[in-house]
Amino acid sequence: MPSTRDLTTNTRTRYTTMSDTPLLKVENLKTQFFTDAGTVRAVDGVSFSVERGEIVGLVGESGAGKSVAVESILRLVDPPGRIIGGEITFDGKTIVGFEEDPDDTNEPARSEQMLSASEMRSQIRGNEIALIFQDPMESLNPVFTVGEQLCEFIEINRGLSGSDVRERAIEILREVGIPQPDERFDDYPHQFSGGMRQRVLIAMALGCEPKLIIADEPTTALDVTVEGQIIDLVYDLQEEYDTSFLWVTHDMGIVAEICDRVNVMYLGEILERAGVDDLFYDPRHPYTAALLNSIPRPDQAGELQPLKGSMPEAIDPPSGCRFHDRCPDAREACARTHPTLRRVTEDEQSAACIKHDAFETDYETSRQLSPGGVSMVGENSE
Amino acid sequence: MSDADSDSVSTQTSLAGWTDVTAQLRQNATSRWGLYVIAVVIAVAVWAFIDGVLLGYHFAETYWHSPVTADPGARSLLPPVGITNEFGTGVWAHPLGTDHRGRDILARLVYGTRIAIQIGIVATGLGAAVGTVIGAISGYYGGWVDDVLQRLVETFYAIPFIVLMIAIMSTFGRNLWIAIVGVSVITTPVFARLIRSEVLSVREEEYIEAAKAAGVRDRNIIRRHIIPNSLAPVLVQATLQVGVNILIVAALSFLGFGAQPPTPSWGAMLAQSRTYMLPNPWFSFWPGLAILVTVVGFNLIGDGLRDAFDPRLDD
Repeated sequence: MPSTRDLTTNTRTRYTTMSDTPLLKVENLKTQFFTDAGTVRAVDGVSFSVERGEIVGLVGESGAGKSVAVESILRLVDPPGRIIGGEITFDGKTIVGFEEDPDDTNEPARSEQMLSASEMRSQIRGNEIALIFQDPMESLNPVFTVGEQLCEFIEINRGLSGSDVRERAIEILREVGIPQPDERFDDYPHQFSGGMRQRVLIAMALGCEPKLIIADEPTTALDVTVEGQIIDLVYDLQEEYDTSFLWVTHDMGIVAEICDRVNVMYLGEILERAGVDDLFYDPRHPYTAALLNSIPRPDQAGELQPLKGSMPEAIDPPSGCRFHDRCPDAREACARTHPTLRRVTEDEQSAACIKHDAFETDYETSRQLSPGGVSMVGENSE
Repeated sequence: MSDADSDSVSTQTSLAGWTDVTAQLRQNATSRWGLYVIAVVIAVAVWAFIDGVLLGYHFAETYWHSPVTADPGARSLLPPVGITNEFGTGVWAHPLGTDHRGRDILARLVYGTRIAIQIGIVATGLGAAVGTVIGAISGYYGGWVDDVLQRLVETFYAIPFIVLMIAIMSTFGRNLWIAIVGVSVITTPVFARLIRSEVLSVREEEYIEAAKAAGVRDRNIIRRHIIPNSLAPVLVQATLQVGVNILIVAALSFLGFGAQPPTPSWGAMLAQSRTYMLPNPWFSFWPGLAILVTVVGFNLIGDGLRDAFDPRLDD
C-alpha cells in the first residue's frame, strides 16, 4: 500500500552494512522459570536479530517476556529461571548454544563453543553489550559519587587507569550533555535530577564503547519533555558511535520515533516483526493492530479501541494461538492451531497468525493460475 | 520530578550522609552525652594502654599509685574520702578507697578500662568484620552457599555463649587475645545474620543488576556495592554490641576466665570485692559503676545512630 507509506513521518533512512551475520542473533530462545506453582514459559521460542548500526524495537505489554529475553542475552537470568533452549550469537561468539539432541528426550547439553561465565563477564557484559535500565533513580549506587561509578565501569571494560579514566569519564559526561561535568563528577546520585541520572546511565553504557546497547524501557520513569531530550541524545550518539540498539519498551510512540525494525512480543512469543513503517501503517497481526488502535494518533480520528482483557499468565498459556481469547478476529481454528511466525509480505514483514495461512493458500492458488506471479508468502517454517 | 527526587533522597540510609549522621548525633542530647562519656572512657583506655602495656606502669608507679602492687604501708579496704568504716577513714591519697590488698581503687579502675575497651572494641570489630563478610556472601549468593553458612552460624548461635567462652579459654589458655578471639567468635553470628537480611533486599536493587550487566566481578559487587549499602544497621548493632561485649568480658573476668591477676580489670575487681561486700561495699560499687556508665554510653550512641539512620525520624 504505497499511499500510506508516503505519509511516513520517520523519513530517516539509515544505511546498514549488511554483513553475512547480524551483530546479535537470537534463535528459538526458550527461557523458563521453574517455580513451585509450575513452569513459567517466560520466553518461548523467540527469534530476532539486530544488524550493525540498527535500532531494533522489542515491544509488548508488561509480562510479555521482554525483560527476560534481555536477561537471557546477557545470561543474567536468576534462578529459578533457566535458559533451556535456543541459540544466541553475538559478533561471532556463542552466548547461548546447545548441542543437538537427536532423541529429544534428555535435557540438551550446553554447546562447547558457549562462552564461559567469566568470559561473559569480562568480554561481553559492559564491554560489548551494555544495558541501560528502566529506572534511573534506582540504577545508581547511592553511596558512591557518579564519577566513581562511571570510572569503575570504564576501568573494568576499557583497561584504562589513573587520570586517563577520569578524563575519559568527564569527556563522556560532557558528551551526554551534563553541564559542568568536571564539577558534577564528584556529586552523589541523589544530587542529580531524573533526566540527568538517565544521561549518566547512558554515559556509563557508552563509556565502554559497546557494539550493542540494550535499553530496557529507559524512558518509562521520565516525564515527556525529558524523554524527548533523552531520545534525541540517543539518536545523536547512535549516529556518532554507530552503536546498535535493542530498544525494549511498551511505548509505541517511542518505537515510531526511533526504531528501524520492530518485534512485537506477546506472552513469550514474537507475534509480528516488521520495518517500523510497515508495522504502523500496515500491521498484519491483529494484536499489533489492536495495540495501535489503543493509542491516540494524529492521523486517525475516532474513538480509541482498548484491547479487551489482559494478558494471561505465562504459566498456563491458552491453547492454540496464545492471543486467540482476546483477538477481535479469532476463529474457531485459533484455539487449536498454534501459528508460527512467517513472512507475509515482500518486505520481510512476518506475522504469526492463522489468517495469513489462508492468504498463503490463496496465493498458492493464484500462482498456479498465473505462473510467474509474485509469491507474497515467503519461506514456510524451516 | 522534584517529589520523586526528595523522596529518593530521604529514603536513602547510606554512608553518603555520614556527615549528616554525626551532626545528628551531636544534636540529639542523649546521644551527645553518650559521645562525651565514651570519648572520656576511650581516652582513659588509651592512656592505660600506653602506660600500662607499653611502659609497664612507669608513670603510675612514679607519680601516682601502682594498680598492681600496693603502696608500702597502705591500708586495705579504705572507703572513699570523707567516709569512715571499720578499717579507717577515707583519705585524699586514695579518693575512691583501697582494695583488699591496699591498692588504690581509682588506679585499678583507670588501668582496668583498657581491658574493657580493648576487648569490647577489638572483639566487636573483629566479629563485625568477619560476620559482615560471611553474611554478605551468604545473602548475595543464596542457594547452597547460604544454607551452609547460615547453618554454621546458627550452630554457634545455639551454644550458650558463656559455656562456649569457657570451653575456648580452657582449651587455648587464659590470655587476653584468646578472650578477644573468643568474644569475636560469639559476636560473629549476630552480624552474619543481621547483614544477611539486609543484603537480601540490597541485592535486588537495580544498581546491583546494573553492575552485573557491566561485567563487575562478584567480589567487587559485594565489596563495593553490597556491603556499603547494607552497613547502616551493622554500625548501630556494633555500637550496641560493644556494650554487650564489655558485659561479657566482665562476666568472664568475674568467673576467673578473663585477664589474669594482677592485671586490673573491672570484672575481676567485682569478683574480688564479693568477700568484702558487707564491711566495704564501695569496693564493689566503683567497678560496677564503671561498667554501667560505659555500657550505657555505648547504648546511647547506638540508639542515636539508629535514629540518625532511620529516615522516618528525619526532621
